[in-house]
Amino acid sequence: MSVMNTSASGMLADTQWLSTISQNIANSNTTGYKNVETDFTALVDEIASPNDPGMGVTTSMQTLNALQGSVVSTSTSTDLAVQGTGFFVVSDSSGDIYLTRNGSFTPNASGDLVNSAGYYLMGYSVASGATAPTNESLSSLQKVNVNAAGESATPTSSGSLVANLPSTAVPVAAAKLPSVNSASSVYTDQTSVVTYDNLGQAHTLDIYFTNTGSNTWEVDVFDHADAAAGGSFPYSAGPLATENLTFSATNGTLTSGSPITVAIPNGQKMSLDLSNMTQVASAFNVSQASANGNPPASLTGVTFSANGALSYQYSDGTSQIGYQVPLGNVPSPNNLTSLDGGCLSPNSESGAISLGNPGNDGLGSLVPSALESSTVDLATELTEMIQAQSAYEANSKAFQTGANLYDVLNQLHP
Amino acid sequence: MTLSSVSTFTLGTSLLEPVQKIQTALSQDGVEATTGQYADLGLQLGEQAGFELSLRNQSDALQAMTSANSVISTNLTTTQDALNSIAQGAQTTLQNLASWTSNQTSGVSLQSQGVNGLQQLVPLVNTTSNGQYVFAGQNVAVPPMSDYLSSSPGMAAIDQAFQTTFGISLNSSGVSTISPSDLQNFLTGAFANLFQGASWSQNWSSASSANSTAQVAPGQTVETTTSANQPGVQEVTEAYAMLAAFGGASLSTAAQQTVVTAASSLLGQGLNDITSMQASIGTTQAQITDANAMMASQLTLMQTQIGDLDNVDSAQVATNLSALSTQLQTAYQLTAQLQKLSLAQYLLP
Amino acid sequence: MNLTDAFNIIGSAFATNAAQSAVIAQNVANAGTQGYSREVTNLVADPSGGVDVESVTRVANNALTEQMLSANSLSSSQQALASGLATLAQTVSDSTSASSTSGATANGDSPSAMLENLQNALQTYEASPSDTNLAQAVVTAAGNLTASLNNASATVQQVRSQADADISSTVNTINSLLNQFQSLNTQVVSGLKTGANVGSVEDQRDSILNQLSQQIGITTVNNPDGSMSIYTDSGVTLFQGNARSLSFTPTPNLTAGATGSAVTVDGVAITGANAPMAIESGALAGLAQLRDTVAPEYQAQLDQIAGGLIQTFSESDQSANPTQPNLPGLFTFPGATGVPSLANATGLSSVIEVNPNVDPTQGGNLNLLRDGGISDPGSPIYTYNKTGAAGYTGRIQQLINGLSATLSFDPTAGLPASQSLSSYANASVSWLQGQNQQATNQADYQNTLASQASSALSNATGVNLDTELTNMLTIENSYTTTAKLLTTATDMFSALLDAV
Repeated sequence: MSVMNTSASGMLADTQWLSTISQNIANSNTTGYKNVETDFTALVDEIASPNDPGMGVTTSMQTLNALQGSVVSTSTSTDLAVQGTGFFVVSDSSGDIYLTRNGSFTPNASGDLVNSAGYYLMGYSVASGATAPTNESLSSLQKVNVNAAGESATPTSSGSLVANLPSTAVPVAAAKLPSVNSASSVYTDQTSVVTYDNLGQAHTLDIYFTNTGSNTWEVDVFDHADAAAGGSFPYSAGPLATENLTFSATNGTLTSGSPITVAIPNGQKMSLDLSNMTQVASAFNVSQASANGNPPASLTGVTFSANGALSYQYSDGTSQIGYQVPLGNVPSPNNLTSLDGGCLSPNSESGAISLGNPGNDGLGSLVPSALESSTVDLATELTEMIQAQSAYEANSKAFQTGANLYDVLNQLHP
Repeated sequence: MTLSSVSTFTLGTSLLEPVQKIQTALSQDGVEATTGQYADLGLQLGEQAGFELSLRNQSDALQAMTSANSVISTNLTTTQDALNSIAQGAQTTLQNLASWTSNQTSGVSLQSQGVNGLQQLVPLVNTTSNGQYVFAGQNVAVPPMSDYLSSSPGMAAIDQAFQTTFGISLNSSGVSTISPSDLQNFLTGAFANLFQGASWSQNWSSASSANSTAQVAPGQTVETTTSANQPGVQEVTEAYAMLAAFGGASLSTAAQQTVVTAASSLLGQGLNDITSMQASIGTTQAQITDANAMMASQLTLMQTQIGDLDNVDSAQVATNLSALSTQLQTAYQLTAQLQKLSLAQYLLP
Repeated sequence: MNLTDAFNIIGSAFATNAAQSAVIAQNVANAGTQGYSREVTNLVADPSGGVDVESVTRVANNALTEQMLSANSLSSSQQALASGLATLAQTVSDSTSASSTSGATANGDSPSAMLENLQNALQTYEASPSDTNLAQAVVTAAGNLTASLNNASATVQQVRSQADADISSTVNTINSLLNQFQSLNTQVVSGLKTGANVGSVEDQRDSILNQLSQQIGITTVNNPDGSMSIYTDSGVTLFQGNARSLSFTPTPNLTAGATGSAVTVDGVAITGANAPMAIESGALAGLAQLRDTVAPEYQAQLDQIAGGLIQTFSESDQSANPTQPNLPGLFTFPGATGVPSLANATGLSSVIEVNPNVDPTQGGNLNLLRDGGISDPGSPIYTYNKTGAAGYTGRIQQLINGLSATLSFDPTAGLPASQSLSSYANASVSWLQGQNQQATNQADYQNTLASQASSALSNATGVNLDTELTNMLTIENSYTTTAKLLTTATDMFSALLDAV
C-alpha cells in the first residue's frame, strides 16, 4: 500500500507546488511581491520500518521576503522603493503596525500617504525644527501627511556677506559716519540683504560700509523701513548693529570684526558672517549676500530624499523637512506572516520590528520616484511548472504501476 | 579665441552683421563718391570740426574783406580821377595866368578864370562814389563844398574881410587906389586866413577833417575817404576865389599883377599838394592791391586746407566701393551656401 | 538577473530614448531662438541594470554670460549718449551734413558760422558806414546769430528733457524687469528643489538679465540654491531675495542750470555728480551722462558765447569823465539792467536777442549801430559818434576788433578760458563734434564687442543642428537595437511557452 500512498503524497505535493507557481505567475507584476518558494521534505516511518524506503513527501511554502526586486523608475514623486533589506513601516486604519515593500504611495483625500493596498505610511514628524526621536519607538510613529503644513515662515537666524571694499576709498570724518545717523551722514558703499522676522515679514537691512582710516572700516546695519523719505539718512531709529572692521595691511583679509550680531526687529538675532570680506584696491563688489529664513509661502509639493526625509516645497522656492520616514526590519524576514496586499505582520518566529533611518542602519536606502517590481521570474516559474508537471506524471506512473501490481496480485487470487 | 563648436544660430546670423555694415558703408561711399566730401563731416572731423569751421569762417571773412575792398578801391579811383581833373583845371588856369602876364589882357578875363575854375572845382570836390562824397572825410552824407555863388558864405566872408581891412566895398571905385603892397598884405593876411582852419570849415567846406577808415586786410587799416580840408583843395579854392573876387574889381594894373602873382603862386603850391594827396591815395590803393593779392593767396591756401579736411580721396572711394560690392556679393554667396550646409540635407530622402 | 529583468531594462531604454528625443526635438525647435541654451540629457544606470534619466541640464556659461551682459551695458550707454549727441550736433551742422535745413549760410547755421556772418556783415558795413542797407544786413546777421543761439539752447533743453523722460521710462522698465525676474527666480529655485526641468525658466531669466543689462550695468551672483542676485556695476543691490525698487522723480521741463533729480535704489543715488555709487554703463548711465554732464556743458558753452556777445557789444560811458556803467548794446536780453559777467551767464543763450532800439521793424534806428547809443537812444552818454558823421567807422571797428579780442570765459564750461569769441565758438563746435565722434566710435566698438560676446555665448551654449542630428542618429540606432532586443526576448518567451 505504501507505494500508492507515497505516490499520492507526491502528487499532492506537486499540486501544491503548481499552485505556488500559479500564485507567483499571477503576481509577476505586483509591486513589492516576493516570490514564494516550495520546499519538499521526505517523510519516513521511523518507528515501523526504519529501513523502508519511505512514506512519501510533504511540502512547505516560504515567502522569500529578503529578496531584492528590480527598482523601476516612475514619474510619481511619492512612489518609493527600498534598495536594501528594510521594509516600509505602515499601519492599517485601526493603527496596527505592519511592514511592506509595496511603496506605491499616493495622498488620499485627507493628505495621508496610502499605498495601493490601502496601508498608511508611517513616519516621525520633524516639522518646525523638531528632531526625530532617537529611541526609534513604534509608538511615536504617525501617519505621514502631505497637507499637514500650511503657510510656513522661518525667521532669519544667520547670514553671510562676502564683498570687496575698495582700499583706495577716502576716509570719512567721525562726525559724518552713518553711526551718527544724521542727514549729513556719508558712507563709502552700501548693500542690502533681505531677512525675515518671526512672522515671516521681510525686513530689508541696509548695510553701510564706511572707511574710517587706513584698513579700518565701520559697518552699520539699519532697517530700511526706518529710512527717511527718499530712502536714506537719517533713519528714524539708530543702527541695528555697528561694528568696526579691521583688514590686514599685508593681504587685505579681514582680521577682526566678524561676525556681527543683528537683532532683526520682531525676529531672531542674526549672526552675519563677514569673515570672507576683503579689502584690496578694486571696486566695491558683492560676491555673496545671503540670509536664511523664508516668508510665509504656500505648499507646492513634497519630495523625498534617499535618507527618508520628506520635504515640503513652498511657492517661494524654499523647502522644509516635514517628516522622517524610517525603515523597519525583523531578525527573520522570511518568517513574517503574509497578509493581503503584500503586507507582512511580525510574529514570534520572525521576531520584533526594529526601526532605523534609511541609508544609516544597514536597512538600505530609499529611492524616490521608483517602485520595486515583483521578484517573480516567469521563465523560472514556467520551467518549474514543467518540472512539476513531469513529477506529477512520474508520480501518477508510480501510482499506476502500484495499482497494476495490485491488479496482478488480485488476479493471483482464485 | 578657440572655437570648438559653432551654434547654428551664430552660423546663420554670422553674416548678417557684416552685410549690414557693408551696406551702410556702401551708402556712405556712394554719397562720398558723388559729393566728393565725407558723408557725415562733423562725425568724420570730430575735434577738428572747429578748426575746419574756423578755416571756412576765415576764408569767408577774407572774401568779405576782398569784396569790401573793391568798394573802397572804386571810391579811391574816383577820388584819383577827381583830383586829376582838379589838377588839370589848376594847370590850365596857371597857364592862362602866365599868358595873361605877357599879353596884358583885361581883368574881366581874370575874373572869368576864377569863376570858371570854381564852377569846375566844386562839382569835382562834391564827387560821389557808391553814394558817398569822397572828399567829405567822415561826413560822407553831406556835399563837402557849397556852390560858388555871389551870396555864398565864402564870397560874403571875402567881402566882409575886404571891408574890414580897407574900409571900402570891393565893388567901389576906390579900390583902384589900393597899393600893391597893401593888397599883398591883405592877400597873405586876412584873405588867406579865410581859407584855413575854422573859417574854411565855416565858409567853404562841410567836410570833416577826419577820414573814414576801414580794414582792408586783417590788422591793416587804411583811410578810405579824403577830406576837402586838405591844403591842396584849400589853395586851389583860394586861388580861384582870389581871381573871382579881384578879377572884376577896378584894381590898378600893379595891384592886378599882385593878384595874378599871388594866385599863380597859390595854384602852383596847390598843384604840389594835390600831387601829394594823389600820392597818398596811390599808396592806399597799392596797399589794397597788395592786401587783395595776399588774401587771395591765403584763400587758396585755406581752400586747400579745407579740401584736405572735407574731401575724400575719390580714387580711394572708388576702390572701396568696388571692394565693398565684391565683399557683399561674397557674403550673399556664403549665406546661400551656408544654408545648404546642413546634415538634414543629406539625411532626408 | 532574469528574463523579466530584461523586459524592465528594455522598458527603461525606451523611456530614456523618448526623453532624449524630446530634448533633442526641443533643441532643434529652438535652434533659431536667440538666447536659448541647449539642454542635455544626463543618463545614469539604475541599480537593476536599466537606464534612467538622471536630469536634464541646461548648458550654461556664466563667464561668457557676464561678459555679454557687460558688453551689452557698455554698448547701450554709448548708444544713448551718441544718439543724444547726434541731436546736439545738429545745432552745429554745416552745409555738408544732410540735416542742415535752414541753409542760412554755406557754413551752416551753427552759432560759430552765424558769428562769422555777423563779423563779415560788419566788415562790409565798415567800408560804407552810411549805407543803411548794410546796417540792416548787420542787424539781420545779428538776428540770425541770436536765433541760432536760441535754437541751440532750445535743442539742449529738449535733449535734456527727453533724456529725463527716457530715464523715467527706463527706471519703470528696470522695475518691471526686476519684478519679472523675481517670479522667474522663485520658479527656478523651487523647480530645482522639486527636480522639475527649469531650463526654459532659466532661459527666460537670462533673457530678463539680457534686457536688464541694456538698461543698466549689472553684475550677477549665482547662489548655491540656483537663485541669482543682481547688483549694479557699482555694487548697489538690485535684487537679493526680492527686487529692490528704483525711484526717480521726472522733471518735465529742464531749464538751463537746473539739475534733474537722481535715480535712487533704496535711497542710494546711482546717477548724478554726487552719487556715492554711480553706475557706469547701461542706457541709464548714458542718459544720465547726457542729461547731467554733456548737455549742460554744451549749454554752458552756448551761454558763454551769448554772454561774450553781450559783453563785446556793450556800450561804455563816452563822457570825458565816465561815471555810468556799461550797458548792453546790439545784443541784450529781456529785463537787462547791466552787462552780466561771464561767470554769471547761465541761461543767456536762450534769451539773448537783438536790441529793439536798433531794429527798424520794432521802431529802432539802424544808424545807432554806427554811432553808438543803442542802450539809450538819444542820450549823449553812450554815443560814440559825437559829430554824427555818416562816415564814422570808429565804433564799427571797435566791434570788429572786439570779436577777435581775448575774453576771459568761465573755465567751468569745459573750454580754454582765455580766447577770442570766434575761436571760443569754434572750440565749442570742436568739443561737441569731438564728443559726438568719440561716442559714435565707442558705440560702434562696444556694439561689435556685444555682438561678439553674444556669438561666443551662442557658440558655447546654443544649438548646433548637425550635432543634434548626429545625436538623434545615435538614439535612433539605440532604439532600433532595443526594439530588436524586445523581439528576441518575446521570441524566447514564446519558445518557452510553446515548450509548456
